Amino acid sequence: MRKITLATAALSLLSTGLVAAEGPQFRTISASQAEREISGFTSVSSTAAMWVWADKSVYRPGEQLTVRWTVKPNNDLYPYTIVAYRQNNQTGAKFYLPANNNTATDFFGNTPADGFRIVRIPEATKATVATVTVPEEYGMHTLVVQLRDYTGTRPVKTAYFKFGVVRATVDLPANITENRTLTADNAYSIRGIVTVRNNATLTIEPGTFIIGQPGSQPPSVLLVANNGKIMAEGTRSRPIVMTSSQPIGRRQRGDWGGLVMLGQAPINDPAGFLTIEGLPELPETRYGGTDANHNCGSLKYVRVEFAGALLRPNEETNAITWGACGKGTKAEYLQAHYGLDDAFEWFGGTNDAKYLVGTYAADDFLDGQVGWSGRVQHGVMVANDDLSNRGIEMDNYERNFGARPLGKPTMFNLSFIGGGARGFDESDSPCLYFRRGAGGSYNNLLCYNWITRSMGGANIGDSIQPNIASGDFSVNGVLSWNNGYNTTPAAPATTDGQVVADFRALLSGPAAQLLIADTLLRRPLERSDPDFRPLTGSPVFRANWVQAPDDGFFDQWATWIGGFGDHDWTEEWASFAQEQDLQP
Amino acid sequence: MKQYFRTWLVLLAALTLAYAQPAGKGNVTGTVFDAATGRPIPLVQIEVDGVTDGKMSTDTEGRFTISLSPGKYKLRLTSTNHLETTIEDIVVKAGEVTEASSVLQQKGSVTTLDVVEKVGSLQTTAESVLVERRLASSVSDAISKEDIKASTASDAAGALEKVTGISIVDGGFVFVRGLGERYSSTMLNNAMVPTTEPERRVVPLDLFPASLIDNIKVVKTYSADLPGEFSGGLVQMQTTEFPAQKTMTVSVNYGFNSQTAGKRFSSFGGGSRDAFGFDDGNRGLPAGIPADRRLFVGSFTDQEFQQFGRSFNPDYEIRPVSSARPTQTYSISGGNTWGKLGVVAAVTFNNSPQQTPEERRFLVNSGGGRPQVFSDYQFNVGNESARIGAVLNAAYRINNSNKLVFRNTLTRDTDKEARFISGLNGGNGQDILSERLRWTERGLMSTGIEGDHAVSRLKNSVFHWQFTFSNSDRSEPDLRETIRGREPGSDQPYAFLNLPESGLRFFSELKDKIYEPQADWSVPFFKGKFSGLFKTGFRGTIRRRDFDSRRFRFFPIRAGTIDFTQPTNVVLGSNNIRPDGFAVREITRGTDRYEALMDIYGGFSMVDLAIGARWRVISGFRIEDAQINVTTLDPLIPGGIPSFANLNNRDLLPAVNVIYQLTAKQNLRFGYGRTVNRPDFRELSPFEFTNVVGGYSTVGNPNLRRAKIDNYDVRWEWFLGGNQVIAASYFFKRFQDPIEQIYRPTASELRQSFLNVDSARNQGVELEWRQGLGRFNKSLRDFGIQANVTLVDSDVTIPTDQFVQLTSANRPLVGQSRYIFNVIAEWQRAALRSNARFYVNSVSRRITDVGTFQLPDIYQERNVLLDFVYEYSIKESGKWKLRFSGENLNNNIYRQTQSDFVVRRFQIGRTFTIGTSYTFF
Repeated sequence: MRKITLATAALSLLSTGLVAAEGPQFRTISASQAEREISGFTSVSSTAAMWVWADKSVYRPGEQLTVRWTVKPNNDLYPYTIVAYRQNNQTGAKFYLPANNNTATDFFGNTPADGFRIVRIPEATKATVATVTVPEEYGMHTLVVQLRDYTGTRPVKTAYFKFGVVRATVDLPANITENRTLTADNAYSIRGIVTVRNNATLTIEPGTFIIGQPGSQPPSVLLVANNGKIMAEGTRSRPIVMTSSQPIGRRQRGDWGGLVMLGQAPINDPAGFLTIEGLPELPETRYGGTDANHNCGSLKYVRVEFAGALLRPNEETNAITWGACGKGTKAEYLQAHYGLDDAFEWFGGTNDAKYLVGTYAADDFLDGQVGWSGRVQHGVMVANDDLSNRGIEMDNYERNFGARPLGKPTMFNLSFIGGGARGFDESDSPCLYFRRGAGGSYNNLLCYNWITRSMGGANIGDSIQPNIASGDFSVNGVLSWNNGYNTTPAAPATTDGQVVADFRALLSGPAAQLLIADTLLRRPLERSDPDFRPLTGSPVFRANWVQAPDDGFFDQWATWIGGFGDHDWTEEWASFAQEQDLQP
Repeated sequence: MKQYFRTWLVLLAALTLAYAQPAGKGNVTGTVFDAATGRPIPLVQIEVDGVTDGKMSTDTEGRFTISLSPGKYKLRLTSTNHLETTIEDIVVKAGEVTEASSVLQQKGSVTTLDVVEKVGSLQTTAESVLVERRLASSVSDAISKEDIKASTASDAAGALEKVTGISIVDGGFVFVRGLGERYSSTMLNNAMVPTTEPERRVVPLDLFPASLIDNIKVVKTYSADLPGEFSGGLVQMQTTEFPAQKTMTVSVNYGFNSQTAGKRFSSFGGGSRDAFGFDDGNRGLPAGIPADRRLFVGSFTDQEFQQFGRSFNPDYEIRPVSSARPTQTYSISGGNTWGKLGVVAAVTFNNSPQQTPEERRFLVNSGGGRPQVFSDYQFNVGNESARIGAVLNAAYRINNSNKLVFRNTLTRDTDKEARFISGLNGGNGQDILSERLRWTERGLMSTGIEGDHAVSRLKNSVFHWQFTFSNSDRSEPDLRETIRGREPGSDQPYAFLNLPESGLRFFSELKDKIYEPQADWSVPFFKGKFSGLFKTGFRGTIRRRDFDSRRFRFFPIRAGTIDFTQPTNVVLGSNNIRPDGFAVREITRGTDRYEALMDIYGGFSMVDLAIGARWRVISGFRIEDAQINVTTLDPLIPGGIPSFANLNNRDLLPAVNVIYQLTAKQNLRFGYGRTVNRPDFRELSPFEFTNVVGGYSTVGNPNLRRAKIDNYDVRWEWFLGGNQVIAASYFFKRFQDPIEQIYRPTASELRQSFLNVDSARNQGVELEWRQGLGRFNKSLRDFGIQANVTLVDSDVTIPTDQFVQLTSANRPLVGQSRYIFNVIAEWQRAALRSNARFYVNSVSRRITDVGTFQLPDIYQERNVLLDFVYEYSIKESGKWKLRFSGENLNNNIYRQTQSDFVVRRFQIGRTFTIGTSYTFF
């Protein structure tokens, strides 16, 4: 793994908060030179990577907030102006840094009248942008650093950091039995299991922070019982963030439990229902039933971070768990960030999801079992070099591979970026892993940088071959590159090296749905600020992609392999920065 | 516990020094029983050769000891309500003990028996045990000290294996008549003993060294004076009895196991006192770990976590010993009587290593209804167990009417187990290597005082009282486990895996105490054709348990900074314990600690009535109030949800036993009793533990209720004289709300729990035959045979609507074998100073685990064990003996099967033991 070398020069803070002059050396370029230079660039798409952060997620008015910023040019020689501001996402008002007022300035304090300073990005730079006093403006705010073109008007590259300004951190009770709305002017703390039950609906306003407390047993979990509902609908600028109480830079997987939603849609255990281990056993904490349209609620623009505490000795919670949620359940624009177990896991049910971001899960990214048959489109799953296992791990049912109803999810347009490291509690950790009678249809998948292979599994002959024969299991349109270099014999550039023998026939059909080619993505391995969109000429647009069924759920316009065409749908609301890159 | 040992050793030394008495005389000793009721008769006047000194009489337990010069004597026994009886030809030798037990007929009884029994002395304890059994009010089977000594058994569990209807499961747990260990209970010297096992309800019998035990009785029918928690059987152990004169015996045994001794043996680094079963402190929780705070994120800094992590013992690896030592057993026992004071003490020490390779598989339903192997493991377990046991009993005879007895028993057992597992783990689809280092110390101390007072003014009634305090503890410090893995079938190096059991450190401590006061009052009555005994009394069993455990795990924080393919001790070495490497985290759960109490107060009244010469009816009832509370909560864990289990029951438990004497030597017995079966603490606590990766985890259920059982028994017995007997029994039991193991519907792991199921029934037949072969053919007069067979049939009904994962809703009870048989062939020839025994023990297949998800139930297949013992007296007096034994001569293959797969298979090897014992006096 490549590591980011950061400038370690001590940065002394000026009283104004302006540091650039003393910190990294930005070489100033004149406007005329910039104009001359940019004629040499064919497109304006920055290769630079950058991220911005503060010391914690929620602040009280009057507290000091230090804005920190790291930028890596990655050989980007484009002449930029740099603009940093704080935006109140309730009002839209912008307060420019370093001065923290509404007079537009660049990063160096120059007004447009003065002329923004035009600079080239120096080598990897970590800087303190400003220290500001948090104003009494409750709700979600965004710290933004932008690289703009030399005119100072057109943003080329933007980094975002979301934080909340709150009146107080309110403890949520163990049981929510009546409708309740959580508002963005407070943060909400979860200690132990908080259960939404008794037909209550928990509504969470956009921009609200939910803070999971570590060190509780049972762990801090937001549990939506099978007769409760959650309506957590954020927006791109005001996502709902469920995160650790620990300071930024010291947060870890498993600091708290995560989000668990239970419903009454069918599962394939003969009992018709199961319990989640480690939770108190009540009829409401079972999942499974007969209502395929059960509605567990709606999640939209929600990040669940640093979750996965131990529910029981052998059971970590996933960042987001759906147990038997039905078609009435909505899920869009979700990020599972640094979970100790899986990023997203489905235990039975029929619910669908779109626009999923899974980052740095210690186990798998998309995990289904006990007969889940939902649909997924648009997603990116990113492992880093810490921990991680499989991109997809799909079972029918662990206890009975032939259980019915068969778990048969349908997936389209997903990108899986491996960590380049050995799987951590499952050393056979390919991008796609099918076992225990898995069914389903998996299409337009991009697998890159998985150490074992692109596609593998277990129990294939006995339990998956029958599903292949009956048309209940298929994989179509897979773009693979740089997988399997740690298999024996290592053969990352061949089908044999990347796909286990049992699945080769499946993928080498007449349409040649497996393509082994360099994916040519923009910046897939720049972990803290990746860009998964294809470069010009990337094979994701080649003819191997499969048209998704026009059933009202799948977007017909996604005519490529992987999670991205030219549009980055993760921008602003999602956060990719690795914790070790967020040290002061 | 340790300080007790020192006290003991000092006492023993003092006792040894006290042997200064000359041995010119011999002793005559015995017990006098009532011929009809079988109970001992106190205050029987004893006259030796017409000499009445007026003081010689039996004590409150019907016992007497008379010291006489060598010669031939005649004893005359007289008692107010009994016919006078004379025992003739009693030979007394210097320094030896002559047994002269006897039975007396009641004066009022009209003798209409076909055969008038010739009254004589009972020569051996085996014989007296039979007499006791013949006259006992309830159905029981017993094993005498002689039988225990003659067998290969090294502990109580081994000895019991030969008793009718008994099978031993998992080394130390007794199944009586096919009923699991939850249906039997154990009493030591008439007091309940607490268990050392957090997962079990009864005390494991392998904790009691055979050399400390005088006799073991298994009572199979209920009578009202016994605790109401009774259904399969009540195991009553009695420690070494008082000698009639000074004795001291030392014995030494060495054993060689064919797959252990001299072989490479799995062990691990430890302390200097490991061989004796004492941890020298290196397994304790590191001193720096706060006892009053949990190591949770947010409570400590990264630097503190690093310090904590580095303070743990960094050794995770199994270290083989090149040549395992033989099994060693040393014991010394002795006793004496000084006038009114009798003292007996015994100490034994045993160290036995045992290496057991094992294959184990877990199956899964692959879809088409055909199971396939899910996980496939090879185990290799090296276990070294060190056991120390001691008994110190003293009796003070104030006079013939009043006696005080102190009994103390101490046992201590330590297991040092290195377990290695390799093979395919179906859970994560890879080959794993698991190393687990486990050290378990179990100790049990029981101390009691009891008194017997015969009150002649109150119709010769006897008042008995007893107070016993027992304390058991079990400590399992620093269980360590690590798991490494690689892609199946590959030749990659194994790499450390971040599985839940990997990098685990588990500490647990169990303390269980029982305070048991009891008293009863017995009044004999004699009225014409009716005679008998009225008995009333109470027993309080006050039990407290405290279980505490802490779990820690080393988690990799940034795996990218560590090479996981290095040896475990390097991967988890102190260099890697740092904020961006491995960090220790406490994963103690709120349910890892529980406190429990069980208070049972029982009162009973019963009448033992002999009607004429042939009928005897023992009927009575018991009222038992039981309160059980289990509180599961670790107060140091924020947000912990406490779990409370609370049971309050009052039960009326009637019992009737009817004995009809067909002839003087044949009894016909009928018995009925209502008993209860209460959930154990463990079963009521949601504490959870997983033993094997991919195996079951077990969790309690706070909502359990007690079960009620109706027991019916019929038995025919024919006592052929001497120690010969033929017996046949039929039993039937009906259970209401029995507690059974079930599987809870959870997604990711198999999880065992407990539930009151609808009903169950259990019935069976027992046959016993014990006879010398001399009566069939003179040339066979040196041979004797003992055989017993038990046939059992049981049936449990599970409510299917709730537990559809179970494959069978109707099945036999878990652990019930259809048949159990024992054959013991004896050979004895005085001229050669030799005796030998050959044992065959066979237990048919039984369910060990209930099948789920259309997988069939798992069966332990039939086991046959062959043992052989030969004993030779080097000295004619029998004081110096040589002994040779072979255990498990056929090297039985233990197999568990599921469908047509063998899911578990192991052998324990043949063990050959050579030993000698020397009796000084």
